[in-house]
Amino acid sequence: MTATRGTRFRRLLLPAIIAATAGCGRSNAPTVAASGAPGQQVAGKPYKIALVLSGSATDHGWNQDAVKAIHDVQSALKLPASSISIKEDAVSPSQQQDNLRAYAGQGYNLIIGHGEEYQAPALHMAPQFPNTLFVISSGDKIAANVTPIVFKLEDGAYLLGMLAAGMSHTGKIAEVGAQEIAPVRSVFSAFALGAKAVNPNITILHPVYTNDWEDIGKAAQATQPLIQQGADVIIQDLDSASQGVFNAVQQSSTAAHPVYALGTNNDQNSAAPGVVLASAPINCSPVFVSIAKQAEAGTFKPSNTPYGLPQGVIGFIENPALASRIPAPLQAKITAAQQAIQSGKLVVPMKTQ
Amino acid sequence: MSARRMTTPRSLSARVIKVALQACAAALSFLILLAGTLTLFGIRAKTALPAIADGAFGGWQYGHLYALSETVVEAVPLILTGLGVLVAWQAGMFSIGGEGQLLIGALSAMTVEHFIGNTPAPLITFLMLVASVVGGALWGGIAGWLRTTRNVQEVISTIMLNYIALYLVGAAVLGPLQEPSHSGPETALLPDPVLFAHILPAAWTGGITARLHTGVIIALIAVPCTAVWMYRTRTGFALRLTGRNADAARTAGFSVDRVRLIAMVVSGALCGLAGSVQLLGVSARLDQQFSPGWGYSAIPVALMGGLTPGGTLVSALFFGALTAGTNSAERTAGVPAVVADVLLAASVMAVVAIRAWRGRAQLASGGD
Repeated sequence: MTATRGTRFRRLLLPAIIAATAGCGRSNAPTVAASGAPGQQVAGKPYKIALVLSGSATDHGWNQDAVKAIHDVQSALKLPASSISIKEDAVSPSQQQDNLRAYAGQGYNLIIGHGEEYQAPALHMAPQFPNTLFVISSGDKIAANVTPIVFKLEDGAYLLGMLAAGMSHTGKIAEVGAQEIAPVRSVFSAFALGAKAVNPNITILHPVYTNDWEDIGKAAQATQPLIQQGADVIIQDLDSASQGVFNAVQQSSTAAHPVYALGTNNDQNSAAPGVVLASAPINCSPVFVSIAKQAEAGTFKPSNTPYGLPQGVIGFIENPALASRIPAPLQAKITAAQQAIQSGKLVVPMKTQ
Repeated sequence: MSARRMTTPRSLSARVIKVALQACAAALSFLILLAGTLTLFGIRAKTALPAIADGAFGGWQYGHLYALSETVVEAVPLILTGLGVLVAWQAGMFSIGGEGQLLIGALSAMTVEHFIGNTPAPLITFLMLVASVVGGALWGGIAGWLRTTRNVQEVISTIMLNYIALYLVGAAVLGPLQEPSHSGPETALLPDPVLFAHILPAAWTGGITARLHTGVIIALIAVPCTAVWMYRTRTGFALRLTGRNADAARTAGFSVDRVRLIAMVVSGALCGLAGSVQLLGVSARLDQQFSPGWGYSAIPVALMGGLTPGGTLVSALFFGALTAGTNSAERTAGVPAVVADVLLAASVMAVVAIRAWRGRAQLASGGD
């Protein structure tokens, strides 16, 4: 019996592993012939658009805005409801890949992967589906039928930075992010740049990352120590979890020593009206509609031109409930900077690496 | 019960009929459960059920085998981690550590690839598989060692080791293993020659590459391997005896500590293997979201399979079908994919309830 122990294993599992190993290596050849431009409407077939989200479609932030935008696309292109498909909570790379592939396989003309995480799988499978246009929100790379949407949230973050530096009594401001990825780092550096423009001596505490876009508790835990260290204006790039920052700020804020938070990605002013000074929302609709219209007509060319404040994709909205607390000279500086960005006189740098 | 065992074994046909009836009853109650869950979510079962079945078993719009391939692809990590769980649990080690062992398996494989990136592709693949087995075995072994030498309960230690594994992956993909442009918390994609080949010819899947990969061979062969080891070897016997009654095993002359350690090592090895198989077959890269919780789902999968290798295979395929079906139904009919999670939990509660009820019935009739 003892003798069979090892040999049976060798007789069965090891050959399987070797067989699987020998069968490794895969081809990535196109399985369909290209016809027309990627994403172009094929005569006689319904035009179909898919949106793949890594989080909840009702997150009051990044994903929810994309859902709203895809419905704007639907009405702009006068498509029936059955032409639009939304897949939410594609959390793991395996699910993200499966969804892109399944939609492409079903002949969707336009597939929007809403996040940088869709870029690598899309670039990899795109040659197999030459008739589908893959749109990657927050991506940065271009292929024949893959286009990034570069959101220049930096424009809004710069203005938020100016506001933060001007409103801070302690001279310390802080940043809370979910993941230390290039787009988040870039937003924080634009925020710092804006802050220094108002107060060159401002202290910006080392950014804190929670590694979670959804956990409100973690966000609150990350925020409390920052407030204890003296930060009194806090920017966050956290999506659903941002409420945690707002809660922590609300708990610590008193009339004598006010603490403020800032909104990003969405208009979050109403999420905590007592403490959110202003928000820099992303508005996906203009980009989605413009790409979809051009793609349908067959005139779209993949491009990585950023969409920012001048294009109306990034906004800057002050909270009307707290607007009276912003001193007039600071307000004047912010308005001037906003106009400069709008007209192209001031270009906020993006740190892509 | 004991009285019934005394009677002569029933004829084969009677047993086949009994199993068939049980399967029908299970399928029917599952359908009622599924329809009930969907109704609770406010979804019309009449449109959702065909959409789920279509996504799991095939459909005219993709070609015939695409959906079935998705079912098997979803089942592969559950088969391997399910086997890992049953090995540990049969030995009375209630390991919750499948998730961490899977992540460490994937991390070990990725680390090996990082250092030997320019060797021939099949060799890289083979070494990645070996690395994941070793890594997973070590990770399982830590919990086993803590239990046997320090009497640290494996339920606690494996949960904590899961977190350590998750954060190790996080540190690796933001540090030494991060992709070259350093923009995202993920590794670069593995090159195509290293990955498992896709098995199905495009002609069978409506012209789209289906994701079924050669790694499925490993999962399918691991099932009889585990069965032979558990039921036909001395170690397997010692393992099951230890799980049933550690005192009896000790009296019979087995080293209970050694058996428990072996169970944890083998369990870890299987879960680790699941990590690299998934990496090489599907994901092609590692990040902190690598696993949607296969190591945790493996516990209900193994329990539903009655903690036997064959049963685990069936229940893994069942949950694979459910996952693939609900994923697809979300795309085609707007059915939320979380329905699969709800059903997984509901099924386990049903199994536990039936066991408890049977146990009570046995006590009442004075059996066992």
